Amino acid sequence: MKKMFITRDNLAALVKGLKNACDEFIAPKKGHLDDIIFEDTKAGGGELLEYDGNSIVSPRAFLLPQTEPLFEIKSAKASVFLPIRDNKERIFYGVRPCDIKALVIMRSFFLGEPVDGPYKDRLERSTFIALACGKSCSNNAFCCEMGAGPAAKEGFDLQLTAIKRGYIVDIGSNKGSRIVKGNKRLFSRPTPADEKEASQALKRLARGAKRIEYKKLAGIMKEDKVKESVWKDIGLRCVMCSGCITLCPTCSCFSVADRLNGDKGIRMRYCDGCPYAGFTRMAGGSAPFPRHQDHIRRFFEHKLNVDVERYGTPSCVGCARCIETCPGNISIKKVIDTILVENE
Amino acid sequence: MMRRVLTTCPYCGVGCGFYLDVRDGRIVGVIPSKSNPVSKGYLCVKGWHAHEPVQHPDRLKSPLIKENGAFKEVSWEAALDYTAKRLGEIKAKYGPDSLAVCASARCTNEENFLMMKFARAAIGTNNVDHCARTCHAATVSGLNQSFGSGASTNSYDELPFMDCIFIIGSNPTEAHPIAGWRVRSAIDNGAKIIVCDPRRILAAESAEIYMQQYPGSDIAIINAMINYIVTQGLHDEDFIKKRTEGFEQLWEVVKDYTPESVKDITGVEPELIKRAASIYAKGKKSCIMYSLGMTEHTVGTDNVIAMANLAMVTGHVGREFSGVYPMRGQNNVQGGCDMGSLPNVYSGYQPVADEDTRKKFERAWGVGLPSKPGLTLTDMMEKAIEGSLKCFYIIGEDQLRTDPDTHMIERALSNLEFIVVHEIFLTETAKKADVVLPAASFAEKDGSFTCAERRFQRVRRAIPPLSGRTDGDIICEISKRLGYIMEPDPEKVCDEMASLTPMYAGVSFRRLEKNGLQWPVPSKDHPGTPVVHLDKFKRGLGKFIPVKNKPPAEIPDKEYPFILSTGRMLFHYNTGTMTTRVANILREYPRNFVQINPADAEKLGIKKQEKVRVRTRRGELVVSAEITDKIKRGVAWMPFHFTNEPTNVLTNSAFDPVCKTGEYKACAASIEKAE
Repeated sequence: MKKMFITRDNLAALVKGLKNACDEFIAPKKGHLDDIIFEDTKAGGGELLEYDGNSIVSPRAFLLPQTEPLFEIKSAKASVFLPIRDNKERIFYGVRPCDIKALVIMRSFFLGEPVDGPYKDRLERSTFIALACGKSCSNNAFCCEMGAGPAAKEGFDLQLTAIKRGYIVDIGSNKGSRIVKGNKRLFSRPTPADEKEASQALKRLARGAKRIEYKKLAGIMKEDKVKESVWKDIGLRCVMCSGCITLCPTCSCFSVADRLNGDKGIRMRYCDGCPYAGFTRMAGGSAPFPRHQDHIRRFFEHKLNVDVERYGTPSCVGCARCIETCPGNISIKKVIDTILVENE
Repeated sequence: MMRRVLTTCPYCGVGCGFYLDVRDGRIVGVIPSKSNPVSKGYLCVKGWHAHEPVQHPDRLKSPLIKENGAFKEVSWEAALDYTAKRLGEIKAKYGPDSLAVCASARCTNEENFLMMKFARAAIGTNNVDHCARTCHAATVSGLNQSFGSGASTNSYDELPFMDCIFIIGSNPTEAHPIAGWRVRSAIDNGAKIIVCDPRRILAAESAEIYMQQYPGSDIAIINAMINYIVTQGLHDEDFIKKRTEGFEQLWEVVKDYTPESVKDITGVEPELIKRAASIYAKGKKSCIMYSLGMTEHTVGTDNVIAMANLAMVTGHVGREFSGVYPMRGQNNVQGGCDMGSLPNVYSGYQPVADEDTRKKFERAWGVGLPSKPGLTLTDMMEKAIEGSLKCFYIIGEDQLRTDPDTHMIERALSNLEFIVVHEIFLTETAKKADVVLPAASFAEKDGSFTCAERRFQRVRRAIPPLSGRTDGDIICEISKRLGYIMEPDPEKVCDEMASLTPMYAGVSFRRLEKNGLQWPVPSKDHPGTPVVHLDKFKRGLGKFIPVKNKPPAEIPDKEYPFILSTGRMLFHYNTGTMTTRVANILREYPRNFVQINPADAEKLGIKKQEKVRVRTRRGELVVSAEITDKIKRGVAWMPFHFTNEPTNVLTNSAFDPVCKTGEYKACAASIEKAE
């Protein structure tokens, strides 16, 4: 992979130029007090070119919003529908490697058959500039253990790694390459010392992180060897807030509903998923998994077992968003650790 | 265009903070604020979906006037002119006290201030009240007598570090989930939880002690706990001596309440009461958390006083990591009370009967004000039936679904000459109105809400009002037409309120920006008050007031053998006008039901999900049976969220004589298979 170098000043200039080349420039921005949230900064500015922590929401909030209109219903009776297209060109800046890995997994899901039109439209019009992590973003994050940090291996267009005199730039795609070519004067070749500094910074963060044996973990789950007490505890803790499935960068489930005012309205889709009993309840009221603990179990099994089989990687990227929003204090990291320890 | 608007959750009284995610004028989602001091990045299922009802197609957008029994859409001008004309006519014909205003715990502080100002200054009556009457009025009347202030004594952030949390008549997991998160954290930190509830709620599963009492027997349990604490010498003599008065009088009554003596009344083993008393008393950091399970009784005020007694006997109040936590039910029911949407007080609980106070408001408002306290909501209904109340101006409240004994409320509303309702959806009460004025939801207005830990927090406009006007705007327009000008700008209203209310003198929008402010805030540089009654109770000495156990107004008999209790579920909120318009939430629980114990079900031959008829002296309802061992034998429980199957046709309007709150939590009922 070809590496380039850019100074901090030149990065600011690059960002200024990129804003003109897109409809929305989605970047981390300071919200209330210490909150950091991805926001469109094209017009208002205020993006953080470098930041500690991570955005409260991942890029998923833009590619698969919590609720989104799919098409307009001009007349339900006459079956007249009008597509609602989102044709915005978006550049995502400062995306963390965990979220980049999540995007790779989401691409497999939404662009696999059957292809999801709205998601594909948005994804193809999106450019992702990643920002490798120099620091752990929170005490709960375990991206390095999940192989999703401190830098992304694939799935980005450009990736920046901060060093003292600027950034090392990895080019990850043709889109990324075009940005560099189009702004040649802003980039230069890194010195070997630069490259060494960057790789050492990344190693420092990853040091001590013990990779989770995800294949072993998936095996334990597949053979149904997880102790009942693990699921029981989770069942007592989960209060069905749906925060985990709303913030998880790899949760892809949704349902659709019509919002009609008489004959007119919209069809919308909305975030849906494991915690709800109604998610898998059938007409007539029977449920394949009536117990609440099994609904939450499904969330863990999907991330840590099913997706390992399907995509060869767990779909938990260790971002800790679910941990830090769970009113039941459920930690997927603790669940993983407990299962592995109890099955040693 | 994308905007992120930080605001405060419109559901329960916990007061969580989140951003509304607005894209091209459509609110597409909710983003929790990790920096919010109340919710710290956590939300419940209702909060996560708070955006969904806002732009629902069912929203009312234009004013409606009833003509020959049917609503007709009219212009704002026509609706406002007509409403003001009718109000003016009724006032001229029958006098100002023939009108009443029902303010709203769903609206902002500033709007509540305007509502009570409108009632008092523009109409000239103290007949203003709001739904605190149906929930925590007992807290205000009870804690006020014991401590001198009727609100939570301590703050949420102390909860995770308690040694013992005594939860009685409150279901934090479902009704106040982010307070529930703190209870969960306390459990994880090793706290001992005591749960006292007729239903084995989720917190009970992780509790050290679970006492399953009969609804309405709470005073017996608490007095028995005090009895055991004192006889075992676990009371805090020093605290009792220095900080309180009336202990002897309390003991005169409580000495007869041995744990053994209350076994039959409460249905709780004496040993459990003793252990609970011992854990609570011995904890260095013990608190009591309660909610409507205590207040919605004919003995609601006494229930609250009993808890205050328990806290004072053990010295578990008046310092950090202790206290009595009334969990307020609605986003701004604390604020509704604080702003003086009550018949006897102005903002900051300043009595209308006090001449100096009244003079102060008269000077500020430039108008003479009535001195006689007005009617409570409960009295308003009675006077409507009697005929002396002619007009009801209702803001964001659905009495036909929230008040006990629906049929009685129906009679009351039908008897009125003129009803105005502000609403965002066409509720059952709105259908009864002569004029419906389409209001704005939380996402369409600026202002503040005050949560259960007495914290003022900002509410910010994310989208313009769908109808074009907020409740505050509407009231000011009507007031203007009645010849009294009021300033509608929320920030200026807040300043006016602060200037007239010593307890909130330091409150301003600018100061609320960061973390809000916990009252009392007596001056512009005061930092707010996380813990009240430190060193000294608001009233000076804490007062022990002896209270005795009294059975509910209705007790089970041959014809009505069950005790029916009602309450809130996790997935729904009050009358369900908002939550039933959220796809995920409605799917979880689309219909009403009744919970009964398997033993009772077997005796009655009722199977799972079978339709049953629940009957009380006031009405009947056919719902499906949820058979669960989580509920005590002989007790039935129903949620109150379903407007098409309204539980309150069953509940009893018998009320607490002090605070006039109805007895939603216990009435006699029969259950049979519906053929």
